[in-house]
Amino acid sequence: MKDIIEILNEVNPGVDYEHEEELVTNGILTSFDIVTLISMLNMKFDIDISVTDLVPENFESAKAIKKLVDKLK
Amino acid sequence: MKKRIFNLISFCMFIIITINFLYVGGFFLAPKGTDYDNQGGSYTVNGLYNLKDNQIDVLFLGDSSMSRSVSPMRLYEDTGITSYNYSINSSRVYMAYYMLKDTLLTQKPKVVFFDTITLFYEYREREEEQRPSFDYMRWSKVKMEALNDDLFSENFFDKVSFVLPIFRYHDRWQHLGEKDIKPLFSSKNSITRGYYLSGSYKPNKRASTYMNKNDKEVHMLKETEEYLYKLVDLCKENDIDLVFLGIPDSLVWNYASSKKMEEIAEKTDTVFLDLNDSDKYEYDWNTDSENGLTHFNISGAIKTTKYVEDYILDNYEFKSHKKDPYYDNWNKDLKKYKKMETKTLKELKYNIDNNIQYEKKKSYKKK
Amino acid sequence: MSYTSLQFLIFVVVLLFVYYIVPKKYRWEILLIGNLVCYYLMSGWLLLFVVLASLFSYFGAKLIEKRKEKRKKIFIISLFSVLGFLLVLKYNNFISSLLNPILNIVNLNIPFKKFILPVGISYYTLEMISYLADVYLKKIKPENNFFKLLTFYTYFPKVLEGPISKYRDLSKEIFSEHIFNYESFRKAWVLIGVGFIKKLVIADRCGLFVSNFFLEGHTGLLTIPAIIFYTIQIYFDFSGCIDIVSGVSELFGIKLAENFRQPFFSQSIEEFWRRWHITLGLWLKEYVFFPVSLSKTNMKLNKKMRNAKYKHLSKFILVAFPLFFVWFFNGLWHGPTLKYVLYGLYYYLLMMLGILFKPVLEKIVKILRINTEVFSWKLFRIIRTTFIVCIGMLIFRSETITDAFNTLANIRVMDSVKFFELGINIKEFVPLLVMIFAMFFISLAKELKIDVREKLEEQNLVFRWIVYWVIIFSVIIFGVYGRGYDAASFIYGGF
Repeated sequence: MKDIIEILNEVNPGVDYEHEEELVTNGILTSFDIVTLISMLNMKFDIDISVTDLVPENFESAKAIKKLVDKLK
Repeated sequence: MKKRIFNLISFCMFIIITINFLYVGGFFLAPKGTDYDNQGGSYTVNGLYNLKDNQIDVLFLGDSSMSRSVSPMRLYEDTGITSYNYSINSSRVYMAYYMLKDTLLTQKPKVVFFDTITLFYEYREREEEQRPSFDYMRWSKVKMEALNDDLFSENFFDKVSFVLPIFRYHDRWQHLGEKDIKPLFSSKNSITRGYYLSGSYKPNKRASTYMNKNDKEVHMLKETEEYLYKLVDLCKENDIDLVFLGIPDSLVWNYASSKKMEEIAEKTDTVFLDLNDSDKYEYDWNTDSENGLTHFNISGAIKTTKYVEDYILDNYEFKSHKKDPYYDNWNKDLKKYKKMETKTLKELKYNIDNNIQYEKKKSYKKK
Repeated sequence: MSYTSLQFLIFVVVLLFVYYIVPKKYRWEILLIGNLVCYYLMSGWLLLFVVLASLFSYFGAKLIEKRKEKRKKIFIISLFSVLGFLLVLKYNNFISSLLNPILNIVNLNIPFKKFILPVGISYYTLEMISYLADVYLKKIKPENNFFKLLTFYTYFPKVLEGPISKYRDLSKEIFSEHIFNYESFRKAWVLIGVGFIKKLVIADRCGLFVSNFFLEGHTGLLTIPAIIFYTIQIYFDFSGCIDIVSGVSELFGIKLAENFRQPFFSQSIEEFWRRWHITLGLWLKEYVFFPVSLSKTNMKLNKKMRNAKYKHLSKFILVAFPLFFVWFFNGLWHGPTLKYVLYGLYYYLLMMLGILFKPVLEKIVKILRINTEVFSWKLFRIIRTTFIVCIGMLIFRSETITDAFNTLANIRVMDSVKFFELGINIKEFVPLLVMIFAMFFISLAKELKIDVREKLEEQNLVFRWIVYWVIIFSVIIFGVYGRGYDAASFIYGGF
């Protein structure tokens, strides 16, 4: 979880990723951010996040992202 | 449930009021007549509706030419016979047909004089032919019949704009002036009974030659012919004597036109009173023409009215209405008319004495 | 049959009547019949194209679901079968202009041919692609009832100019049961009325003098207001049409997706394209941007660059690569010529420059102690964005890029005409300005999150009726229609 938050801060700093639950709906993460995020997650965890995984629910919070990453590992 | 009924009622009310606004708004925005003050177009139409039922003995139908040629008030003054000069600029025979049909709903003229000038026209001015009278015609089965006639529309939207003129004239908001608003609130009475008083003059140089024998051929458009026969039949059905009146016009009429008109008159068993015949009918072409080509001024109208009057007296026995209280409004209006006529005659005399000739496109100086 | 024609209004009223008389569960079927009738009135027998393409998308989706092993192949085939119509009918000349230079070498040539397009083909093709992609990506299950799918594609309010809808969203709206609601009914008509004002009073009036300016090739300082009014014209034409169709759709209880959100309050190009033709932007984002950016190619490219220590550049390329395709297709979708592609790439170039120079610009702002939270800064950004958009519109309007340059260059040439000689006089200009300002205030209210239509609904009857009459008579009196006008057909309607 910590490493995910670290990556999130690198993509888009200055947000409380521990508690934010609506990263996509509230527009905190833009489409560019998401793409950057995914590329970093792919590299860090050696996974392959594809378009099928690109549903808002998977990226609304750090927790959700972790769930996705774990699923794909 | 109560709310539903309220909603339904308020919805219907909204629609009804809106349509009323649209209808009334159309009359604000529509052009009222021609460029003239208190004359032509809507004034002529409204003036006829303004009369009491069954007041008209004789009806004159035609276009701008007829409107300047016969003065019903002079006829009334001399004979006590009531008539109306129901002529609209640019009108054609099909308009005359519908206008007569509409008039017959409230009036019973015995004689109808129809100006033959437009019969051989081959050009169309669709809107000018129709709108000035149609817009002011009252809603009746005649108006509905006219609306269904294909002559009145090129498409569905056109027909809608005939029902609600605001859709045709909406753009005129830019051009609204006093002459668009005043008529809505002033009297609908036409003192001149549709006759247009003109005090301008210009010598007509073609008058002596336009009726010379020639080899020309004149044609009637198919639709003109169709409606001419309809007009003839309409008069027959209603026991009306139709008279073709040839009002002198050196611009569009000539020897061939008169010849053709005689043929048509014979074919339809109608009288053709050809005032173009200079042997029978005299005019002073230096002073009688309004614009040197086509229309008469007051001087020419006085003569024309006399010729028509003679014809009526020779052929009919009309009773004078001058002592009849039902025709009281005519006696009153006659007084007013005489004042207007005198003024116009003065204007004409002034113009002739000072050689101020008619100029096209310039509106008259209203004194 | 255009959306501002009397025939269309009558069609809507008649269909509404039938729709609400019929029992609720049959209403969508009435809609289907209405859609087909409307489409036929607009496009005649070209209706068969949309039916055929719908069949392809229907069977394609079902097969993708059924044949798990071959789903990718089936998806690609259905995709191209649906896209094929668009490519052949609309992009044939564009494709042949690219291929012919090569084909000519072997003495072959694809002849130039302009086909009549089935109405809305550019819009419904995107919707079909989105439907197939959603089924392929398992976002939705394929629709079992072909006629429901056909109803969606041919849905008459959106068929001419969009909004580009997603089956997964709009189907819920169309096929749910609709009860007549008088308040929504009234609100819908208000939206339609405002749309008519935007189109007939503002856009078409601008069109009177703007087209004369460009067609007659005028020069001089007037070019500037000409470009500005052209931009105003396009905005009110398109968004006015969208208002009309959204309102019409609401009459049937169906909400269409938002397509405009006060775009001229945007402070950047990115924001502008999130507020202008929103559904196109969303489509491109979901079906071009994300698939390309998350593709193996892009990811590999990114990895390679990172490993080669081009960290910042790799981050840039990560979005720049897919964005190229986004803007390329945005431009190309608008028209099958090079000019339109360049129109898209114009925004791409500016966006890329913006991203590349972002750190530099941020530093400059810091040094100059510019406060970026204040109104004046935001206003500056709004004006800057509007300027960029106006130039973009000039490109959109010009025949070629060179023409656009020439028009701009001609600003320095002597004035060849006066403003009120172009086809509009001072008297006519006044209601135009008044209406533009009225629309501006409505947009401002919406920007401040005030639901104007809802607020109007809350007012009492007399006030509401007065507002309704102001709208109705503004359209009837100031609308550009009837004799003496050539009513401008919808600018976005040739798609």
